[in-house]
Amino acid sequence: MYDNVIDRSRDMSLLEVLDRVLNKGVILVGDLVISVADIDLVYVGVKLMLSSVETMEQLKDGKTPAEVEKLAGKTPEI
Amino acid sequence: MDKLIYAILLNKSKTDNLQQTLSGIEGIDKSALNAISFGTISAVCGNFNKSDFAANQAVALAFAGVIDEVAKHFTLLPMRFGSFMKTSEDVSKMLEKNHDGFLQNLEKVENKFEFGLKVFGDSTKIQEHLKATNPIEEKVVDENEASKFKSYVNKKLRAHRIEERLLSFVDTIVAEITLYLKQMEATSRIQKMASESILVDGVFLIKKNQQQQLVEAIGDLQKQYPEIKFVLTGPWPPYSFVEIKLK
Repeated sequence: MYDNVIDRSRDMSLLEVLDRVLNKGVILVGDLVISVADIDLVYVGVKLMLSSVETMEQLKDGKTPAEVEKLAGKTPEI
Repeated sequence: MDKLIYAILLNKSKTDNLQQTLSGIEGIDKSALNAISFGTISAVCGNFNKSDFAANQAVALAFAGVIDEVAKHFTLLPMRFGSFMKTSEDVSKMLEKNHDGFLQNLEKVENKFEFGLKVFGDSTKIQEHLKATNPIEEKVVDENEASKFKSYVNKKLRAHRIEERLLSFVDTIVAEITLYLKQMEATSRIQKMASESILVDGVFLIKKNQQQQLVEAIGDLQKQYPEIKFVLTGPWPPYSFVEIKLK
């Protein structure tokens, strides 16, 4: 009945996967090997991916995950 | 060979089955996965030369695919893409040092799914709609006393009231979503006005058997607010609910 509520479009799903795998999960600071120059995550006009790249850049700059989250303005749990 | 870590999992009841289950799942380069364990916690790893690791979209998706596959069998905490350690001993030490933190996080997400919800809407159109359905009273100003300054202030005040109405509209939607989530005892994080078109951006952690209940709740909201678009994604492994600082 509510099948249309769950998104099955490829683009949206792809973005959601990439947002999670790049921006979330357990982080081993200092062991991330991603270089922004090497990554070909090209999504025109999509803020989510831009934020992922920014996060990676900040981590590469030596900021701790907590500092990166503070800069990203994460909201508290409710 | 370096150790590429995909996930940390809880292995309290299936110790004997872990390696057997992992043998049926391929890593990002089709190589075998292996488990490095400490107590009831295990790291799912693959052997990989760090220098050969291509950080591109296809590999990131494959990495997520492996985590998804392992999550079908175990409660886990996903590792962020590109997490390497040099040796099995390093992984083992990392598990030992962080055992309690991992265990607490794993117990929190046990038998639960993550869902994402984005509510899309054109904020300008919604503001116009709100303005049309409930007009803001214009203050009648005597032309003689209407200075440029007063006109400017009135214009700003009016824009502010329209903005307030949009925020109040978003607050109402968030309150309704939160009400449903409270009934499900879900953990959630909700951001309002994530962008001009994303009115609400939320992630929820719900019990696995509540999936249909959540879908129906969001479906009801979609019916109630046809002018905006509710997009639910999931179920996901609990990417957004990992709260651990590794030692």
